[in-house]
Amino acid sequence: MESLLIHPTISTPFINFDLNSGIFEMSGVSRPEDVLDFYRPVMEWLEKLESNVLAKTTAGQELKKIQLEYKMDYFNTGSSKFILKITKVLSSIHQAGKDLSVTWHYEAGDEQMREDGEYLAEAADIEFNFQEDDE
Amino acid sequence: MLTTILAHRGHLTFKQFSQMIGELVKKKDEYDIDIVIYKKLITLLIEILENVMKYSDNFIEFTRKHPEFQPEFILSRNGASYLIESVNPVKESDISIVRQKIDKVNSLDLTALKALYRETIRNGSFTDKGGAGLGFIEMAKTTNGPLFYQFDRISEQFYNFKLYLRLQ
Repeated sequence: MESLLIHPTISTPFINFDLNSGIFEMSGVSRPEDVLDFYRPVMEWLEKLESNVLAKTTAGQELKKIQLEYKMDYFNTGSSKFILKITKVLSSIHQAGKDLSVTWHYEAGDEQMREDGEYLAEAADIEFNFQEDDE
Repeated sequence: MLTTILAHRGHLTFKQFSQMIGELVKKKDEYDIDIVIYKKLITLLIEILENVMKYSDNFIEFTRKHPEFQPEFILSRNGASYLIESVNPVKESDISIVRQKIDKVNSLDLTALKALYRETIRNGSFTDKGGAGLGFIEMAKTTNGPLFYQFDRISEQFYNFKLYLRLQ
């Protein structure tokens, strides 16, 4: 199974879910023209990863930990549901025995972004680390 | 003094929508917009313009025949207040659902709004247009105030839906 790399555009985020390092990064802007279409391959990739972990395939066993890093500038409400779905799949992989940490980065002073992270953490029922970054 | 920061009139494509977001990024420095306000304006702009775009199939034929009723969007500033006004035609049959959604968020205080947001993000489903059912909730939460709106009849089947948001 390959890592997932999606290059950013003016309306879609950078996604780099690196199976070798275990660092799963999503950053930038998310307001795709068709949110369902954009996130479909991401969700398919995550479901495949989950299957590999549950079936204890080589790919599943090689993944030791997941360090999920959200570094969003802004996202629309449609994307927020997918951020929640991504977090939930990774939480399920965590319950199957993989270490998981989630860090929610936000720009200094951007309390709305921090609050969005708090909603998502609560909805996913998982603890987020909050990291305030300088501009 | 009322200053117009952004304005658009006419059918809105995704490309134009992206250009408007880009314009606001530039205006942030030009108008010395505080980072917190700027982030909120981006959020509001996205949610409002996405609504206009997603549902434009419903009125594009009508506006082609009646070009005087094009969608309009204006972001202006008056002192420390920002005003967002958007206008677009809606079918009479869609009025009750829009009214119901806005009246609901307007009836809630901020705590209840946040609870509704949490509930909807967790359990709500997507519409066939890819909407998450969170748009009006997000607008009310972001402005921390009521969403002002009105419907003006413009034809047998269509009304102009006018939405006004104020951000302090």
